[in-house]
Amino acid sequence: MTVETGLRLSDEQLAEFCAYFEGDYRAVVGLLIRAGASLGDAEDAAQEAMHAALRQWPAIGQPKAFTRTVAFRALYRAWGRAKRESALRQATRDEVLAPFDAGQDAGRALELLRSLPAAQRLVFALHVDGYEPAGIAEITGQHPDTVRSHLRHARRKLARALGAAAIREAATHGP
Amino acid sequence: MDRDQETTRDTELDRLMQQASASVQEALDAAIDVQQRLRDLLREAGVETVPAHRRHL
Repeated sequence: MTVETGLRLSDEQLAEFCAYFEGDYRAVVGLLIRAGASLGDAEDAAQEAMHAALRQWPAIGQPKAFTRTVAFRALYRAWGRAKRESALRQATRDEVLAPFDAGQDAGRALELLRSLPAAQRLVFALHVDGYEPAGIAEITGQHPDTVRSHLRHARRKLARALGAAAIREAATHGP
Repeated sequence: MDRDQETTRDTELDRLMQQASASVQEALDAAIDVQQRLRDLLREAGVETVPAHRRHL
């Protein structure tokens, strides 16, 4: 049976999309939050990406890469609408980091991650999700060498901010 | 910092950030109703019919 919505999806295709959505929606939202979005902005961007994925589902070869590419574009548009990034950062910090104790390693690590410049933050967030530079380049539209450069600078800044001893301690014992 | 130290630091930094990432995901598991978001998306997309095995949604 074909769904009569203009989407032209079969029952099987729709079931595949639903399974994908259920498995990846929260991961996309989490990625966008680590890249600096507020929960609201992250959900808006994730919904927009998932909507695009639904409409183009039969033609999408790699849904995860597709939704992340669309979601980041949507997030950048939202940020472009924000009047001042400093105000945005403060608002998002309050909203997103509230569930975490600021003294805990996870909360501090997130706060530091979100203090990076946007391009480095985005690349590092994807790296933490397990993407290699080539995959990150595909999603962000950057050259792989640019991705590696952002990653290198992000690591240096994070390491400097955290301190070698603190990184070792936190990584060993966990949150 | 020599190459080995840098590699060790990067590995530990990655592990720390993965722990932070896992904490975010745990918080989102509690905060986001995925089934509701899926229903919203399908409704906005104009999908009235859902696969038989998902009619409980």
